[in-house]
Amino acid sequence: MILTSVVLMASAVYLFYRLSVQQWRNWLVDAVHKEACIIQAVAAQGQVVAHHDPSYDWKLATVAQIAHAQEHFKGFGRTGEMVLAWRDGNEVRFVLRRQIPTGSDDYPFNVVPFGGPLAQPMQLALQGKAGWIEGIDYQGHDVLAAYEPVPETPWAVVDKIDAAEMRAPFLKYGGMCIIAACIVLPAGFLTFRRITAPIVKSLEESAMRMESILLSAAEGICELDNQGRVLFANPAALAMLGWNSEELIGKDAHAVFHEHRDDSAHPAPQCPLKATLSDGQPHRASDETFYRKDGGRIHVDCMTACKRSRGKALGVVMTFSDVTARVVAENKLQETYEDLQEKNHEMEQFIYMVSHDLKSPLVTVQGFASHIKKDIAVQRTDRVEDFLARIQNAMERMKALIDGLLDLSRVGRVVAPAVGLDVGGVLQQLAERHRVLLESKHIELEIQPDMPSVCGDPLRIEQAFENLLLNAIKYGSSADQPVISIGCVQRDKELCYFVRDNGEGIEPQYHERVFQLFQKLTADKESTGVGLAIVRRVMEIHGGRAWVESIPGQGATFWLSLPLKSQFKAKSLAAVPQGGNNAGFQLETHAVSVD
Amino acid sequence: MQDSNSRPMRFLLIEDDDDHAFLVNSALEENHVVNHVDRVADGAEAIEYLFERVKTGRQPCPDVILLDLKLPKVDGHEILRQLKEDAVLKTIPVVVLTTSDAEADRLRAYRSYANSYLSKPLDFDKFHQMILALNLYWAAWNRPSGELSAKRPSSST
Repeated sequence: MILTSVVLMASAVYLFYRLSVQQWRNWLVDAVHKEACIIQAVAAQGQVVAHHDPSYDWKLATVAQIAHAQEHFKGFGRTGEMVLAWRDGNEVRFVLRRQIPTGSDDYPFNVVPFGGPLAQPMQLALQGKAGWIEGIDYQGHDVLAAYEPVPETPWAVVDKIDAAEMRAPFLKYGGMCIIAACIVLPAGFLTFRRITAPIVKSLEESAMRMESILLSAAEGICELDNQGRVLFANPAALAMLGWNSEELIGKDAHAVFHEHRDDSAHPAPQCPLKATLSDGQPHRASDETFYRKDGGRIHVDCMTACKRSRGKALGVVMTFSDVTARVVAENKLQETYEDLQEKNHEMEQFIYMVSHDLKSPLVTVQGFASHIKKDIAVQRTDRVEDFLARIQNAMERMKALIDGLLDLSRVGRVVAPAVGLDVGGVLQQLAERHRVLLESKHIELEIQPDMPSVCGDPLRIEQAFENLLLNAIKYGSSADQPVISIGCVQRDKELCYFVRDNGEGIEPQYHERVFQLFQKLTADKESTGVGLAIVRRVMEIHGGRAWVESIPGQGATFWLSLPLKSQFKAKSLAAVPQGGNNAGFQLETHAVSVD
Repeated sequence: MQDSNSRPMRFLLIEDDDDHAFLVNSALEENHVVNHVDRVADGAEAIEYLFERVKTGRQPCPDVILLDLKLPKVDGHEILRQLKEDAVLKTIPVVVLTTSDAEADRLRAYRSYANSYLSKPLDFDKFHQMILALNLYWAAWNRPSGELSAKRPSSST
């Protein structure tokens, strides 16, 4: 800064100096012209006198007169002088210097050689030229000189001043200025520093504080321009979205991480960012989905506000926080709630059914007990045995109902670890267990060899097959040649086991009904209406299905399907799952050859 | 209290439980009113029984229907709905006679225009009394609609 100031100042001084030189020059040229005219006039007078009186030395007289005229003239400056000289061969002879004639009677003068380096202005004048020059004078000084020959005489006149004298004030004041600058500028600079340093420091601290807040905020903060392009994103935002700063800056925020990538575009009017861009108002949205660079999605609560400066909208500031954990928890809660609702509903249904069906045998028992009582009172005994049998049957039915209900509740509640189950072996055991029943009804049982085995809760799967077998024995043995065949086919990703009879079959409108609790198709007392409900429940907890296909008169085929590979999902009927081992292990089904 | 009808009242008992059917029957028999009771054991049979009579007109329709709700194949609510949608059958009084005392069942039955709802009591004497009173009310005191009276073989005032 000092250097600049000095250079500027020096330039100014130099300009002033040149201006001054120019003025001096004009003045000198003017003066030398006037002097030449005067000297010519004086010399002309002397020449007239000399014409009449040859002894009259007009040159000497002229010089004396000029010298005399100059006596009271103080000249100009310290070194300024008028010089008069003439040329004598190869010499320049000075006749007048510094207002004083040089030499004695015979033209006192100093002499310099013509053509030499000295007295450049005078040499030019003696060559008949007029003008000005910055050159060397007879003393060897640098001078500014104006020169002009004096017409009608051998002389030439030069007005000159030393360059040093002209420069002196400029050097002096220039120097003073530079010194002043050297003192004033640092002092000013120091003062400036002293005043501004605290302001700068507080600004810096403020900026650093703002930056550190932005950088360490746990919320994602993005600055966006008027087109919704990212200008800045803080580390939390970058971490949540999985982008780095360079990738994100300049991109359309909505397109990059808000728009739905799967099916349809996220409708822009619902985007708080777009809303703020269009109306300038703050907007907030809960549970928005943002997409990460890796394609993953996070749930965020997002707020947008217009960024303004002096009332002008400059863009949008968007803040968001990751609420994925909360949303997941909420979803889970909702799921559990719905599950519970469903369970509650099931429970109500269940209780209703139970109360109805369990009450029924009680009505019977009470009724016939009262009849017996009355009969005994009148000594009537013929019906007592029948009534007692009815009571006994009702009690047995009640027991069967209770057992069935307990079975059903166990299906949902107790889940043994899934193990590989040899279905062929199980079916052979079942055939053995019910051999007497099968033989008494002359039923032929065909079991397909090489049945694939499954992985699941062995007791439940066995129970499902047993219930289907008993069902087929009970209702499918009306044909002349009753046949029950059991086998398995693979369809898509399912293993489908079937139990087929050639009995009466079931009309289509009852195909769903038979699987519902306590729903029977006949009024017989043996059936409780629980068996097929258990079958369906067992399949549900294994991720499979149970259904029936039948054409009335052509028998019925009950199907059990199990996924080839599935999650063993414990879906309890009316009880809370016990322990933690009832969910989450793989149910694998693989083909194992059995005999 | 003697009824003016000279012919026996026809009851249709829709009941899958044989024992309950026996109990209801025996109670009805004890009444002084002469009754004729038909019994069907499941819902599908009941529908067939009733609509067949309306269609052919060969056999008389029952004067009163005693309906259990819990039935095989077609349940009592569905039977009730179908009955009350039929122009002729809807004039027959339907007494729901069931073990269920659930409010949902009662509400649903009355919404389907059941004429009465009786819950089978566990106390036999009460049960017996109920059937007696039922018989008395519907068979002796209650006057059936003219439409069905017209179809009767004989009627007098």
